[in-house]
Amino acid sequence: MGYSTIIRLRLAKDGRARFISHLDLSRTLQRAIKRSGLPVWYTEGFNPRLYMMFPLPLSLGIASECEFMDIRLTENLGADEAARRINDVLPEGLMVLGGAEAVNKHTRIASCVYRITLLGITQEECGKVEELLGKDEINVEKPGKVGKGKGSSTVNIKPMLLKTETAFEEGSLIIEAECTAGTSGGLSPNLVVKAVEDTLGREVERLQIRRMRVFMENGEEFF
Amino acid sequence: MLMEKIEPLLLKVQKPSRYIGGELSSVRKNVDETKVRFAFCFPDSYDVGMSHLGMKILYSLINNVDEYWCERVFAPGVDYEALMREHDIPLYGLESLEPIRDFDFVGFTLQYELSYTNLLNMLDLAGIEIYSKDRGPDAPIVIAGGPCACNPEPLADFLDICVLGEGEEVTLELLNLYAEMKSQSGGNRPDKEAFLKRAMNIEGIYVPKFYQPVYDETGKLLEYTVLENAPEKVKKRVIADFDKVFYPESFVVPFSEIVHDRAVVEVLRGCIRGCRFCQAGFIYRPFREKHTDTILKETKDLCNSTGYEEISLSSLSTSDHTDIVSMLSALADYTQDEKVNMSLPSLRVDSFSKEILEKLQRVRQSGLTFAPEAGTQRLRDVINKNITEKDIFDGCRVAFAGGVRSVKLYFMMGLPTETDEDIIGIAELAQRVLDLFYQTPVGGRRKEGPQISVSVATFVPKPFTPFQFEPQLNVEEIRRKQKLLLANVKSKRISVSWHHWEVSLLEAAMAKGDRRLSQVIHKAWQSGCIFDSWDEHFSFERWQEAFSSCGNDMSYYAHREIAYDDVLPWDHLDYMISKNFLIRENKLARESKITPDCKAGCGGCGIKKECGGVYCGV
Repeated sequence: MGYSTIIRLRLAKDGRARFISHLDLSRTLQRAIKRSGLPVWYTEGFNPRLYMMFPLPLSLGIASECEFMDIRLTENLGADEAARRINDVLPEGLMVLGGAEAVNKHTRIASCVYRITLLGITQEECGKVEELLGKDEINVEKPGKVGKGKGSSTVNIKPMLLKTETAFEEGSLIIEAECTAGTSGGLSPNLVVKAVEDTLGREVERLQIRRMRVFMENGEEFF
Repeated sequence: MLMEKIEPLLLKVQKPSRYIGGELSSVRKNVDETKVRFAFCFPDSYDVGMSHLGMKILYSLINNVDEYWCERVFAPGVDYEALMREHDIPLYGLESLEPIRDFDFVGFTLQYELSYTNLLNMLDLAGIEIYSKDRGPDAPIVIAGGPCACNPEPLADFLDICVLGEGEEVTLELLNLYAEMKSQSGGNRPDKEAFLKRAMNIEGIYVPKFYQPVYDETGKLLEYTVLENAPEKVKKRVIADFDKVFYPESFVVPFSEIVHDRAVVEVLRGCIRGCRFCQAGFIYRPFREKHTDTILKETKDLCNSTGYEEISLSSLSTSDHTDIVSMLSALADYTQDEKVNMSLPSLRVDSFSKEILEKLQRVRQSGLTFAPEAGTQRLRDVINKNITEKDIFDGCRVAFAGGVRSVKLYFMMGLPTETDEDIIGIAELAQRVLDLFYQTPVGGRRKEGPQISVSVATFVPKPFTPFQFEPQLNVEEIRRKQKLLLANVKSKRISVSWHHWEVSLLEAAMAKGDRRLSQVIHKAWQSGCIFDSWDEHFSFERWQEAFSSCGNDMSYYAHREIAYDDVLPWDHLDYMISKNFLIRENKLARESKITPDCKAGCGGCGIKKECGGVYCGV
């Protein structure tokens, strides 16, 4: 085998692209790589597949500034060039923000920071939410998956909620929440929203969730 | 803006990426710079509709004109439809996310009869009046095309315009006329009457309301009264130079998986074979093809622009391409180099060298499919299906020797002149294929036994075929023959499956229906019929009620024998297949006489040499 190196790309997922499921995103990027004409490594065997890895699935509807994808190049082009070429052929809402040779293992991922913006919140409701986040125990009913008919269960999400900060301005409540992530089990920001909704006793119809950063077990940012 | 209302709902439905657009190569334009807006509606789900080649072609064709904007629209799943209705979200185009009731055209493609209620449902979801006569000056023009437009009469009361034949030229002619009249009316919708009266003179444009059916006191169709000096007969459109026809350089590449998720290149149009039950074999005539170079170029363009790793060739019968060997060879070389898979429909294996086959078959064939359609050679001659038992056995022998162990055999029941012997013949043919499996030596030991799947559809007589005069088999006979077939299947290795006769009966009624069915379809939709082609949604009872509440009967359309000189609801539509030819073919069928294919000699179907057919006027 000749030259081979694993390049890690950091992508943003936003706008209409938020509704692409994890599985569909993988197929979408695979086709993008094909279109880009990048010299990528294919698996050997009867049905060659191009090598691609995603460490962190993202729930439907959530925007992100830190989706990671690893690909294996068979020519020494450099990460910037790979990023540029893929950017040229991506659909709306997906964008490569940067690239580098992959150094850290996926298993080092420990947490993610999400920015949860809730719109149409009163001052009083804001107080309730802050009180909730300060509690020692936050129990939430975890719903079964849509269409799969699975029952729900109750979980205490507090141990997985590593850090929270809130800001309130003009009827919008912004929660920056650091949630555990990775192989040891992660916390979905949707459950944080669920806890907030339970406390407020109503559904928050207008909200945005965005994955901002990904950290490793030593506190450094993952790349 | 609908976007804000849509987004929160998307998290509550299955596969939401189907409802938000934004796919690669989907076209966004500036509304202010757009003169004509066209909603291309496929009356079925996104997964089905996005697989449809005709939509991809017309979408690109229209959007290639700067001032025209074509958007895609599909039938939402029942979960999303409920939310749309609850939250007052009208049906919208996937590109702009704006309501299609504000567009200039709302166009439907009619691919199968059982999608008709979806068309009504989509108009309703869009907030557009369903009956053409109820639509005011602020409503879009509702048009339809596609194969079922060859008898659009059941939908005539809902449609302003039908497009007959191939759409690549006539669609733009229609839009150009509209754009011109829109400019003249200061950028507002032109007067619909005035537009229809000019549009009716474009070849291929049928304006149903200018043709009024006249029935006698028994309900028999006598004639059509032609109004407003519309042409007596409306002729279908044909692309004469098929090699130069518009073809998209790119497809919209969906995020979610669809039924046919791959690049598609159309290699030929029309069919030389003339199987007497097959509507496609007649309405798409004449047989035209693209040059190998064109096919190769279109393949490369599409693979490059979409990133698809699979390509398939589209046609009614790819092996009839005059340059098939070098075409497949060139494609095989390209796809192998680019790590692209090529999927091929069943080909006549004998015409290929082993080398090409090996190149093509990078994915091992797991099963084999044949469509003998009838159980005996006599009946295959009646239907002019020129496949012999020898063809089937030759194909099976090679495949069995190569390790294939499953064979699918497709048949029809209720074909004209069919006897019990023909039904028993189905079981016997399956048995002989099974016997052949055990007689064929393979290298190494077989791990698993053979599986022969016999699938039997109920024959549906269709317009513009020699069998358009024929009745469909009645229910009692279908049930009796099904039992007869099962009684003659002697092995557990042979499995038999049926199509639901109820579905076939409705399909027959719709296919050969007249304008009185508009009311029935409306009733059926009102009573909750949608997605009729989906088993879980189809309700035969509701359809029966709809027919009877309109004083109508499915049986009248499906089970009535039609005399050669009866006036048919599609007689004023000219698909260039002469009625005399169809009658001649019908008589030959009754005598079990075959008609050779176009390559072997002209059968005189009526298609003109000017239409560009490879074998026409030779």
